Amino acid sequence: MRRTALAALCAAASAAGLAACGGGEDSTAVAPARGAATPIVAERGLSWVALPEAYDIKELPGDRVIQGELRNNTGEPVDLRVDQVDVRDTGGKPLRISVRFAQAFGHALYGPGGPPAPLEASRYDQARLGERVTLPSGETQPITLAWREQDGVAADSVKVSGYELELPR
Amino acid sequence: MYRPLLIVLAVCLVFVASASAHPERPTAFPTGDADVPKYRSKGPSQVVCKADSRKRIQKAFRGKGPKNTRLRKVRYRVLKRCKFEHIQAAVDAAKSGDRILILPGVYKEEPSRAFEHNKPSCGELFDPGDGHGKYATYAYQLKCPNSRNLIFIGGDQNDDGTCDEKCDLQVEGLGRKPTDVLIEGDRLKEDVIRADRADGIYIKNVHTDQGSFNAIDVVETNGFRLGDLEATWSQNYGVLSFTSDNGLYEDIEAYGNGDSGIYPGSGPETHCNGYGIEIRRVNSHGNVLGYSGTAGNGTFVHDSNFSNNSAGISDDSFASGHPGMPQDCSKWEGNKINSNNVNYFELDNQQYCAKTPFEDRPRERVCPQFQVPVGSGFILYGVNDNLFINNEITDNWRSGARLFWVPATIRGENDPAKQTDTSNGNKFMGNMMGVTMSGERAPNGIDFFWDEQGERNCWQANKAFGDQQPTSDPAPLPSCPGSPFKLVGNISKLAQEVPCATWNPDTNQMPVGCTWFTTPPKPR
Repeated sequence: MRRTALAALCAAASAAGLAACGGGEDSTAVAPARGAATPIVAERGLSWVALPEAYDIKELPGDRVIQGELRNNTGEPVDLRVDQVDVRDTGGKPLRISVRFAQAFGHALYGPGGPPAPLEASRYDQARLGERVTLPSGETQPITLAWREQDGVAADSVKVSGYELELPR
Repeated sequence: MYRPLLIVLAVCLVFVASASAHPERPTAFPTGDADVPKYRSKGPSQVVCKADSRKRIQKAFRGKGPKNTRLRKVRYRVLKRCKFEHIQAAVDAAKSGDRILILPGVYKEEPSRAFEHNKPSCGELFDPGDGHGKYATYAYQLKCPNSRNLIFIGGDQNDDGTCDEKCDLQVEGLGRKPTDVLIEGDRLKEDVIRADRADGIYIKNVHTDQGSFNAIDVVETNGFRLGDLEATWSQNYGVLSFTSDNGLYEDIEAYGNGDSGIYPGSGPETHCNGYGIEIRRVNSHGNVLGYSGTAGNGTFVHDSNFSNNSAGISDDSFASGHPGMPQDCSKWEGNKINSNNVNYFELDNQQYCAKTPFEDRPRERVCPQFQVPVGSGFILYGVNDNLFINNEITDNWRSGARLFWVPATIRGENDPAKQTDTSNGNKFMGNMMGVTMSGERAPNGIDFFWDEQGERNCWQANKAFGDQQPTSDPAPLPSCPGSPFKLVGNISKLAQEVPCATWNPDTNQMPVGCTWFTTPPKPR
C-alpha cells in the first residue's frame, strides 16, 4: 500500500516535472506504464530512467519519436536546454530534431503575431513548456524527442547538455 | 478491451496537444447576479452617423413597401439627432443605460487611429515574466482608451473593479444587416471594440473587421450580449470574452481570423451547476479554429455551425494566466462540425506570413496564429465533465473528436495531486459521426481518437452511416458511465503530439515529427 501511494505521488510529480521520482533505489518502486521499457541501472552522469521505445511516425517516413525520463546522476544541477540537444546519425551527421523537456504539448500565451521565439519566452514559460529546465542532482525530468533520419541512415546517438545517451532503435 | 489500469501505474506516460489562449492582464470573475441584457427600443440615446448615412439608409431600405418605408423614416428621424461622427465620441458622452445608435456607414474612428499605439506616456506595458505575456492594466486603458483600442468602453471609472459608469450600454447598428455598419480596425491597435468591466453591454448589428488582435473583446464583464454581428479578418480572434459571465453570443458570423472565430475563454466557474454563457446560431468558418476556449467553462453551445476551418472547436487547459483552470462543465448540443480541413499551414502560406507583417498583408489573408491538427472537428485537451450531445460531426479528414490529457504543470500548477486532474468525465452521446442529419455519408478520418487517459470518459449511442458503428482508436470505447478508475495514457499517442509544440510561424514552420500541418487524405 505504501509503495502504491509512493508510486502515485511519483507519477504525478513526474508529470509535473518535479523530479520526485528521481534518485536512489526508490525509483524502482514505480511500475512501468504502457509503452515504457524496463528500468535500467543508473549510470554516472545524465541517464535514462528506462530506455524509452522509439516510435515510427506513419505519416512522416524517416521521423521517429521517443518519450522518456532523464535522471541526473552528476552530483550537481544540470541546465537542460532545447538548443543543447544534439542527435547524430551513424555517419556523425547532425539530424533535425524537435525536443521538449516535457511529456505534453504546451504553449506560451500568444499575443498578436504568434508565439515568442524559442528560448525567448519568460523563464517561467520556458520551464513550464519544457524549453529550459534546471534539473537538480538526483532528480528526473521527462523528455520528448523526435528526429528525422535522412537517406536511410539511422540515428545513432543523442547528447543532452553534453552528456551522451543511448538512442533506442 | 482497454485496460482499467490505475493511475498509480504511471511513471510518466503522457502526451499531447493544442488550442489557443491569449494574454490578458490578471483578471477575476465578476461577482453578483446579473442577467443577459434585454433589447431596448426606447430610452436615452446618442446617435452616430457619417456624411453618407442618409444615402446608405436609402439604399439599405429601398422600396416603397410599408415596412421599408417605416424603417427608412425611423432612421431619417434618428439621423436628425445625430451629434457624433465617431463611435468613441458617442461612448464618451454616454451615461449608464444609454443606447448608442449607429447609422449605416463605414467607421474608421480617425481620432482613435491618430492616437499613438502604445504611447509611452500612457504607462508601462507589463511583462511580469510569469507567462501572462505583456499586458496593459485597467488604469492604462482608462488613461489612454485609444492607445490599444479603436473603441474603448470602460465601465469602471475609478478602477475599483466594479461597473459604475457606462454600464448597460446598448451599442446598435441601424442598418438592415450587420455589414451596413462597418467598423474597420486599423490593423495596429489590438482591439477594434473593447468592453471592459462594462456590465450589461449589448453590441448588436455591426460588422467589425481587421483587429490587430480581436475584433470584439469583452473583459471582466457581468452580463453581456453579442448579437447579429460579423467579425472578420482579424489577426487573432473575431469575438472574444474573458472572465465574463451571464453572457449570450447569438447570430454571429465569424470568418477569416488567424486564431478562432469566437473565444469564450476563462468562462464562468459554474462547476456544472448551469451554464453562464449561451452560444447559439453562430456560423464560424474560414478561420484557423471555429471556436476556442482556454478554460472555456460553463458554456452551452447549440445550434451553431463550426465548419470549413483548419479545426472546428478547441477547448483546453494549456495556458497559464487563465482563471478557471482546468476547463470544465460545458455542453455542446445540436451543432454542426463539418469539413474542417482548410489548411492555412501550407508552407508557402506560412512563408508569406512570416515575411509580411499583418498591417502589410492583403485584407483577406489568413495567417495561422496558433497550431492545430488540420482536419479535426473537436480538439479537446485537458477538459473535464463536458457533454457532447446530438452534434453532427462529419468530413473532418483527420478525426471527428480528439480527447487528450494535459498535466497541470502545463498550466503552471506543479502540485503533484493535481497532475491527473484533467480529461475526466466527458460524455459523447447521440452524435452523428460521419453521417449527416439527412443520412448522407461523409466520413471522418476516424470518428473518435482518445489517448486512453482519465476516468469517467464515455461514449454511448453515437451513430454512424447505415448499420455501422463509429470508428475509434481505441476500439471499442467505454460506454457510460465509463471507467471509475483513472486510466493511464497510451505513450505512442502521447509522444507523437509533443513535437508540434515546437511550431513557430517565423522560425519552425514544419517541425520534425509533427504531422498536424499536412492535410490528411480524404477518407473513403
